[in-house]
Order: sequence, then structure tokens, then C-alpha cells
Amino acid sequence: MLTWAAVVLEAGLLGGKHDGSPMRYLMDEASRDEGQSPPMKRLGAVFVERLTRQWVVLDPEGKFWILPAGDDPWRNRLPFHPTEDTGLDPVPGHYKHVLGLPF
Amino acid sequence: MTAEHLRLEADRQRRLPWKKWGPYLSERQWGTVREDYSEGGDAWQYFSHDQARSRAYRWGEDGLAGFSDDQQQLCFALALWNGKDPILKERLFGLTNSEANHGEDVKEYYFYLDSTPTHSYMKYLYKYPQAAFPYADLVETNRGRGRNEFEYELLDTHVFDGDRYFDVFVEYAKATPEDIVIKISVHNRGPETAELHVLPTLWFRNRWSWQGNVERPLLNQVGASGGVVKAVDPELGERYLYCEGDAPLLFTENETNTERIFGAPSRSPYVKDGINNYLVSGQRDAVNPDKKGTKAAAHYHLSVGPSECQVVRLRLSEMAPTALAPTNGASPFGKGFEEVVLTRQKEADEFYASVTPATFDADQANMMRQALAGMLWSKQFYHYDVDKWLEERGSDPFKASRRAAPRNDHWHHMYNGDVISMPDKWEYPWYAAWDLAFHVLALTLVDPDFGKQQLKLMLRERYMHPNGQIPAYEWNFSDVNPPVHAWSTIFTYRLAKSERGEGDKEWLKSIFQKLLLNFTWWVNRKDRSDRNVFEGGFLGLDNIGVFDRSAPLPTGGYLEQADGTAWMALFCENMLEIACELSLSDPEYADMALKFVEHFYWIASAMTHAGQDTGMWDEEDGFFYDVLRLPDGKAQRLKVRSMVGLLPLCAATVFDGKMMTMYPEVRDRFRRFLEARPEIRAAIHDPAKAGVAGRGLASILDEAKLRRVLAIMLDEKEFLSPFGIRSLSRYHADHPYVFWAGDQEFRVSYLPAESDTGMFGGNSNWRGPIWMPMNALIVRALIQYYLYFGDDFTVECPTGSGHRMNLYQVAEEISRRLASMFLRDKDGRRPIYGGTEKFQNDPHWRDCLLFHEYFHGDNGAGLGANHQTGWTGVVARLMQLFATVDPEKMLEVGKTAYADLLAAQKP
Repeated sequence: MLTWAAVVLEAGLLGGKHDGSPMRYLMDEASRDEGQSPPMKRLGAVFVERLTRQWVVLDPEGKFWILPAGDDPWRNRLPFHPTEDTGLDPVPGHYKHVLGLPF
Repeated sequence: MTAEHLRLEADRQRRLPWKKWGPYLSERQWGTVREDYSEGGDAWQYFSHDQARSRAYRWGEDGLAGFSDDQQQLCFALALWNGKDPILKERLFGLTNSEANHGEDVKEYYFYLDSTPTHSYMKYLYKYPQAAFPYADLVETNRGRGRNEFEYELLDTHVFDGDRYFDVFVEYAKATPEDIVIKISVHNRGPETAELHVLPTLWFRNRWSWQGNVERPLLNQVGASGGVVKAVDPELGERYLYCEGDAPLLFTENETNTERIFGAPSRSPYVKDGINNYLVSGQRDAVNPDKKGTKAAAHYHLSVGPSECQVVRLRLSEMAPTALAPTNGASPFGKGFEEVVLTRQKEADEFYASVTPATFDADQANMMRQALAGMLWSKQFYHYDVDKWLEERGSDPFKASRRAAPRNDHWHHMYNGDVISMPDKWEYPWYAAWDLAFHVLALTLVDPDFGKQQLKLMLRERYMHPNGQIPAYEWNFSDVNPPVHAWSTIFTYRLAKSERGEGDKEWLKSIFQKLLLNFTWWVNRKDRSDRNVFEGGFLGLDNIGVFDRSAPLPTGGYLEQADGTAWMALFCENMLEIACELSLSDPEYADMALKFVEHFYWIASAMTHAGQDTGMWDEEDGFFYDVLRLPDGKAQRLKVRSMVGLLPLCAATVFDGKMMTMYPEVRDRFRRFLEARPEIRAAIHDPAKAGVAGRGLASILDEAKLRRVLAIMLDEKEFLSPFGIRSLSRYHADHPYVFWAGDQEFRVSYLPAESDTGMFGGNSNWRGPIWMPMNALIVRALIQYYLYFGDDFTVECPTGSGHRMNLYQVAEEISRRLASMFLRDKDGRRPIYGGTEKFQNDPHWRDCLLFHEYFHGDNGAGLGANHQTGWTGVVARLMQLFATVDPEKMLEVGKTAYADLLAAQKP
């Protein structure tokens, strides 16, 4: 199991804490540096939060959401703010369709 | 023509899809690379047998005695429960690579007893213990054993003691391509009445969960009384599973139980293990009371008396209940049911009678039939979209922020979704390029079209890399397998040409064009010094070398490989054969033929010349070795007497000279080429020297070298075992080869049984055992030499025995020894089963044959994967060849004699 920061870092989504903002994306850095990089498809990621055993989604914009049980969980999603102690277990990318995620 | 031949022809002409349904389900989807989304690529750990009952697969399905359509949309398999096991027996159990002392190993007894090539009739046997299956004992005991100990097998657990087990036979018989009757016969072999739950299971492969635009299929019960499951899929259409009697139908979804697997709530109360949980754990709400879902089973609870047999009948059909009834009386299980089974059985007998030599006794005929049945049962729908797989694991190759994938990063062009012949559907449920080329040699005995299709498939743009490499296997598509595709191609072409009167030149051309790319890939990638001397790494021979030949050498530098170079010489010969054949009707190929003639001589002469005193040929020993070239410019031969050194002998092909006669200008160019380079001819077989019937011979070995290598190969103290040619000389039992790299010792000893190292997974051993495909190559080469040298060229066989044989007789003797591993000896024992008395003596076991991956170098006992009918099935081809061919006729006609004789015998 990995902490959320390790998960996201390993996923290549976070560049680290540069300016007080908790998240920065390598893709954004790369785009800014290269200036003319075309927009790239971002897939997001699916996790299970270790303590509550709830589905957690990282959307392509870099926001975390917790998905409640029940029908249409994506529509009923709630913001989620991981801390350094949050434990997130990664779930394979193809499970995003199981949860009805739109990306 | 037999009825089965007519079905093959109807399928070939696309009039009736007789092969649409078949045994295309895998026997293990868990623990595969495809299902592995872990960071480090530990496929065995990531998706375990324990998870498999609860976790939906992404890329394929598995099951017991399984059956599906050729896109694996709708699957059928057997599930069993003896009332004592902690889980349903829905799939075969085995140990993972790290759990077992000799690598992954299935711990079950099951047998492929019969199959026709269209799968119009199939029969499978599974032996299910009545006591609780010893899952934990198998894991724990094997874990405690070392590499020098035997594996702990299921029979060793005593769970079959007292014959307290069920023989469960599953038969499939096709009434039509879309109407399949299924008969499950349960025999209690024990002394007491025993209970068994039989759950024939129908389910859809889960395609809807992973992609947003796939419509969900549906299974539901027809009517209130049960007995019929209706299956509706937007692509496949409607099918019905008829279940005899009043067995209750249980429904769930083929969806992951995410609560059990990931710890997060499942999206539906009905999940993949719902039927298991309903029956084994008594969870009444685990199955859908509305009788619908994507996975369904009929529940038969049998009580079977001692020696009694009970039968469960089912029928999978496109015909709705209203349409089926009038054609079969009142029930889909009326007398028409048994008639279909009996008719297809009889037709299978007729078919095999037509392909089995009349001289075979019952034991030989049974062996050949089971070898071919095993090959046909080993067909599997293999699905792997590598681009999608990389994307789903965050390794999209076109994404800057991608994570590194543990493997197959550079194969994102691949989309595989085809029925492919597998080496072993449990231990190796993925294709292996060079295995497949050997499979085709045997499969074409019964289904030439399937063989042709398989060869072409690997060269399609969805498989072959844009750079020309043929994918090796899913663990690492970039590994290098020996280039045997061209050999299998020309062999298959000749068979079909003789059978049909004319060859399929379009097929041959298309293969040739793609093989050109592959040949160029080899030349540009594996000849580091541009001297026509090749590397290649392990080249399929796992632990045969002093070092792991796929890894950087501990000494630095590199290896010039005798096998890699010999493989390329053979590749040249086979490409030359194809070009010669095509040139008979298309002059452009004459030029290509000359290209391969010349290339062959560059390679052949390099083998004997390159490196001068440190070339691959060792004059003192009379044998070929790999050469280690060190960074400081020094070189030395690694003097291990192994199959590596026999491969140069295999690079031999006779030519009838038709092409040269037809194109005198090509002949003149070739003559000038040779005249200008006398050094090329100096140390190899002289191409200008004609043999029997004016034939030419392309061979690395001249007569003197050939005699010296044969003397070693046919020496029973070296390579010749009672059961074929060993992969390593027995000489190394008393004389291990030792090499020091700094203070590190590397040692190669003769190991006739299992490997004592973990190299390449530790589940294969090339340091002594007998391997069928290499023996087949040797037999092929001996016949080529025979066609050139004729009856007058004789050698002692065995060496030192005083018995002289010509090379046809030597080939026949090796083939006889190979086949004898499977046949009962004078004491009624089969060497493959060694000291396992149950298999030797029990009438319910002794004629059920297993075709292992390789065999003990001294006693012929089966080792490694035990259902690798794949390339071991080649033994069927060898047996049939020597029972068919008349050597005199062969010498007269040449290398097409065998194909011509087969064609003449076709019904």
C-alpha cells in the first residue's frame, strides 16, 4: 500500500510542492517549458481509501473525490482532501468504467 | 472423404462455421501478464488463484473443460463441489512460480481424451477427489522442498487413496455448428456412495465493465419452471442452454466482488463468486432471485453409488425452445441427443482411422489420437490489446507523464484477439512464437488450414513488430526465439500442395514477404560484428549455457552463439526453399533465391572460419561451441557439449536443382560467386558436389565433420539416451564444465531431470533432458543428409555398438526411441510415468496419456509442464512419417516423397 502522495508521484502526476500548492503536475510543467506541447489526454485514477474502504477518484483535473455507495456514485461525488497520512490503494485503470466515471 | 473431412471443407469454404465453437477457454487466466496491473510486474502475485473466483478478468476467461465461441463472448465450463472443499472447483489449481520448488505447476489430474479438428466431438476427463482438496498441503509441502528434491504431487497427498474420487467425463458433440450437445458422465470410483454437486456454468466474458460503449449482455431463465437459460448478446445474438431435469438455475453477475478484492463496496449484490457463496457458504442472497445476470449455473446435486455412473445432459443451441422441440421429439434430450453423441463419436473414429497408419497397434493409435486431441484442446482465444493495457496502467506510450511499464513497452502496436494454439493452457496459457511453429507440424496432420492460418497470424501487422521482429511471448515480446517459422511454412506448403495438387502460392508469397522483414531484423540486430556470426541470447534454451545468455555477461564482452548462427543458416536454407518454389512460376523469386544461397554460404563459412583458432568448431573435440569474446580482444570456446553444438548439424537441406536448371543465368552467377571465393567452400560441404539423383546439399558440416558430430551424438555415454537425444551430453555427469569469472564459479553439470537453478523461472531444464522439438529438427536433418548421401553413407548407431545404419535408419531409430516413452514396454509400463504406480497399473489411469514439456534424460519420465501437448505433440508427426514413408521411394523422389505419399493415402 502507498500513501496518496507516493501514489500520485509514482503515477507521474505530481511534480512536488513548489509554491505552497499541494499539487503540481508534471504535464503542466512540461507544457509550460516546451510552450507548444499539444493538449494531452489525462486519464485520472481510481483508489480505495485504506481506513474507510471507500472509492476515491483522482480526476483528470487533479482533484480528488470520494464516491459514496449507491447508484450513480460519480454524480453524488464529494470532494476529498488527502493528507500525508491518507493511504490509497491503487485499483487498475480499467475499473473507472465500473464506477461509471465519465473520463 | 469422412464426415469430419467434409466439415473441414465446409468450414474452409466458409459455408458452415464448424470451428466457431471450440475449447477456446483458457485453463488459467489468473497470474498472466495480461491481467497484471502491478507496479513491478509480479503477475503471479497480483492476480492469484484465490482471487480468481471473485475477480472479473479483463482479457479472457478460464474454466474446467471449457468451451466458447471464437471471440469468447459466451463461455461454458464445468464447476464441481464435493461438499467438503472450501470453494467450488471452477478452475484448475496449481502452484505459482515462487510457491513451487521447480516453478509453476498445475496440481490436478485432467486429460484431453479426444477431439476432432472442427470440435464436432470432444472428450475430456477430470479426476475430482471426494475428500477435501489438499490446497494448503500442496502449497506448504512444496514450499518446504528444495531445487534438488522432487515436486510434491497431488497423488503424494494420498487424496486419491482408496479410489475415493470421481471420474468426470465431459463430452461435446455438435449436431450443427450452432447446436451443441453436452454430456457429463460422473463415475464414482470409490467404495462408498458419495455426493457431488455438478454445476454446468454459462457466462459472458466481461467486456461491458471496462469500456463505456459496450452493451451489457443478459442471461435469464426462460419460464418459471427452469430448465432453460436464454443468453442474449447484441453481437452474438440469442443462444439457449437447455438443462435436463429440474435442476434449479442460479444467477449472478460476472463482476468483481470489489468488497473482497479491494475492500470497497461492490456495485451489485451479485458478483462473480455469488454461486460459490450461495452453495458453499450458504449465503442465500448471493444469487439473483429474479433469475437473471451474466453468469448462471444449473445445480445438480448427485448421490453416486460405488461403481455407479450418473449422467447430466445439456444442450447449447441457437434454437429457441419452440424451434428445437419439433426436430427432436418432445425434448432436446430425446433420442436425438444420444444419436448426436454416438454419431459424432463414430465419425471421430472414422476420421482418426483415416489419419492413423494401418500398421499401428491399438496402443500406438491411442497415443497418436491423444497427442492430437491434446493439441486441439490447447486452442485458446488469446486477447491482448497492448496499447489499451499500457494506457490502463498509466503507461500510455504517447503520454509525456507516463509511468514505466514493467514489460512490453515497445509493443503498443499489438492487438491480439484470435484463437491460437497454446503450449499448455495452464502452465503456458500464452503463445510462444517458436513453439507455435512446431505445433503446426503436428496440427497439419488433421487440420492444414488451421496450421496455415496460425503461421500467417504471427506475421500480421497486429503481431509482428514494425521493425520485423516476431513477438516471442507475453512475458517479454522482445525476447528472441529461434527462427523456425520458415521451416514450418515450407513444410506446411508442401503437404497442402501434394494434397490439393497445387500449392497455395499466394499464402506462401505473403509469408515470404513478411519473413524477409524478420530475416532482415535478425541480420541487422543480432550480428554485432557484421561477420555473419549471430547472437540471440537464450534462444529458447533457458539454462543451457554457462551463463544466462540473455543477461550481460559477468566477464563483459559477448557470445558468438553456435546455435544462433546455425539457426540463421537454417533460416537461409528455408527461405531459399521458399524462393525456389515461388521462382518456378515467378522469375522475380529466382533472384531472391540467389540472395539466400549466397547468404547461407556467408554464414556457413563464418561458422567454421570466423575467429580462426577460436572459431566455433573445435577440431580437437570434433564439436561446435559458443565462443566468448572478451572486452580485451581475447576469445575462448565455452566447451559445453550441448544441443547448442548439435544445431549446426540441423542446418542441412537438399535441393533438387530445378530452379538452377530453369534459370541458367542464376546458376552462372552462383558458379561465379563460388569460383571467386574458394575459401568459402574450403571448410564446409562443397555445394558443387552432387549427391544421389544429382541433388545438391546446403550444409555447414562437410562429411568429415558430420561423421565426427554424429559419433558424439549417437554415443549412449553422451547424447543418445534410450528415449531420444539429450539436450546435454551425459559426459558432463562426471566432467562438469567449470568457468571462473573473477572469483565467481559457473558450473554446468548433467542434470537429467529438473533444473537446480532459478534461471528463467527454474521450471525448465536444458541440461540433460530430452526435448521433442530439437529431436524433430535432428530427425529432419538426418533425412536431408540421407537424401543426399543415400544408403551407402552409414555410421555406427549406437556409437561403438558395431551396428551400422544409414541416416534414414538412424532417424527412424531416434523416432522409435522418442515414441517408446509413451508406449507400454514389455512389462506394460510407460516410461513417461516413471515410478508413479497409479498411472502404471490402474485401469482408470494407465491409458490416459500426458504429453510433458520435456523428459528425463535417462529413464524418459515426463517432466516440466504436464500438458504441453504443444510441441511434444510433434511425436505424432514423427510416428506417422516413419510408418508412411518407404525409404527407397523417398530416395528416388526426394523431399516431396512424404507429402506425396500422404496425399495418395487421403480418403
